[in-house]
Amino acid sequence: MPRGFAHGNVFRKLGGHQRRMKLLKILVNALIKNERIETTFTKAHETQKYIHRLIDIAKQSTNDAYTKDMVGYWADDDSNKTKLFNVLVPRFAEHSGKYTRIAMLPTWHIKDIDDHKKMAVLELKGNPLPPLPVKEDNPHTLQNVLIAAAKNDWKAAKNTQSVSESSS
Amino acid sequence: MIVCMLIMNLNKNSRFISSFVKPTTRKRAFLCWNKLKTCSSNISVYTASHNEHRETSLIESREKNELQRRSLLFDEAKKQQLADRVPRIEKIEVKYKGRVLTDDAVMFMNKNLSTPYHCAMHIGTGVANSSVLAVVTPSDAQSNSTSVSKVQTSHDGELVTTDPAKPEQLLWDIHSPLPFDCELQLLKFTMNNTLQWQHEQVNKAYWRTCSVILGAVVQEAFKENQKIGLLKIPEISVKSGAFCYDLLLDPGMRDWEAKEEDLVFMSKVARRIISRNLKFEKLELEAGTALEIFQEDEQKMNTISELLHKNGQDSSIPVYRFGEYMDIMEGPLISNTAHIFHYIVTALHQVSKETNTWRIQGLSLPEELKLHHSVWSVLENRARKLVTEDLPENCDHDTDKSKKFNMHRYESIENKTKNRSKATGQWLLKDWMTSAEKIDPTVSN
Repeated sequence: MPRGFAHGNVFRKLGGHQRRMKLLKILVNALIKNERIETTFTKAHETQKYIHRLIDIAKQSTNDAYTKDMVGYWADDDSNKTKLFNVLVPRFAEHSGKYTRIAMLPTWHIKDIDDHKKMAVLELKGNPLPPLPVKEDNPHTLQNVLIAAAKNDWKAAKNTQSVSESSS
Repeated sequence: MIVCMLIMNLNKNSRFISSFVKPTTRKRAFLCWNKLKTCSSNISVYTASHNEHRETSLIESREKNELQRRSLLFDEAKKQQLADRVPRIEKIEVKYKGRVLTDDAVMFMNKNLSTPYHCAMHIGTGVANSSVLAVVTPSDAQSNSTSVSKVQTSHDGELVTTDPAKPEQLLWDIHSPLPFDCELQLLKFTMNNTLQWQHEQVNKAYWRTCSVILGAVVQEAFKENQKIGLLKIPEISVKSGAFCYDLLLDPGMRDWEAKEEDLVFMSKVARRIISRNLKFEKLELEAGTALEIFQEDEQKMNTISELLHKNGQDSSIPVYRFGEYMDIMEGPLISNTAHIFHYIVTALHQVSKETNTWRIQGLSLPEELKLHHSVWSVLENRARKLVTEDLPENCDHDTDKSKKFNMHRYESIENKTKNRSKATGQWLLKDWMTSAEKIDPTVSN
């Protein structure tokens, strides 16, 4: 099995290393500017990983050389840079983890074509546009209620632990 | 007496009475046989070597006879109620409201005979198998208020409109018959995001059924010479993480601690009960018949008297029966134990040492909402802690005793009840270990 498909991970080449980098840079900038873009599924899946990493870097809010390098390369425009720090970081301040959502578009009209591409829509969460018809988890079913309660317990325990650590 | 012995099968484990005997003589014969057996056990003509075995086997059969007696009385009461209510078959109109307008249907069903399950079967087997609770709104109240749609009164110059009386939405078991014209809605485990109240009711009913099954497990698991009183099912929300049952154990077990093996054993006993796919039948009994059924159980008599005290001396007592076991329970329950997928007994905590009350806890999930084993183990660890939601704050239970079993991170009580194929080691889905022995081997009092 080719290395790129081990453990369920997909490492896509997207036309070569240089081409891939340029493509992803364009897509990341477009996503920050428009907050919702429509591409093929593979490109959207790749940009998800880079956007998550970029927002994590920006959230750390340290002014060292690494962040400057990364943000300088990936958020090219000045407007994008300001938007990243002034809009996106406060929006995702309490949000830990996945900041984007992918919705697949219908394929019934293009399946008969040989080289059809599966199109998808990639959007940042919490954007002001009308919501996508994506199936969210039902928060009222039994297993989700139990999981949410367990999460709250764990968080409360963590808070008390941190409080006791800080006080001691 | 000889006639009784001829009628009954002499095999002590058989419940099947010969079918050519009339029911009334059958009942009388069974009760006589019961008395005979208990009399014979009192006459001690045992040899020294067989003493213990004989004793335990006689105690076992006494329990079994008790359960059989109860279910016979239950059957009698059920037949009588049917005869009272259905002198001849009358029709009622049932309006079924489905998920979408096009699923709506109007059906003419039999009064006091047909259940929401029968209505669902008219629509489709998928609906019938996946529906778990029913919401019934009797349409009598609506027909009265159609003439008075809105009342406009001028009060201090302002118009005040009062809406007509809203018909009550009653929660109904799927297998209990409908006595009036109504609108019917069937609830499942997963429905639309927006229906919060419906989901809450289904979850509550599921939690209640699991507690009731815990009661049966406790009766089966402990040795017969231990006296166990099932106190009550505390009203605990689903968010607390485990369903509970309060018990009164033998006074000799005050210093006993439940070990991991005991819990695994009890989970296997629960599996044996659940695997029989038992229906939950409901009956509203009068106080007299209920007291007759639960003669030999102190705690149940107490609960009956409490219920009568609360609701009035003439109220009926709702009793649920599944298989051989019976329990007094108010709210609606799930239709069938076949819906249960995960089921484990997670903890047995001693709530207070003085009164010797214990709390047995468990965790379970239905077939439609299975979980990956990693998420399940997180929930399981949470369910091992004592649920303190409805206990008073100054309760004297040990909070320092954190029951940490020596379990590896990926081990769980559920993993020990799974049957794995000998070739590959993979879990054969839905193949669980059930325990055959009736007696709890580690409880050696």
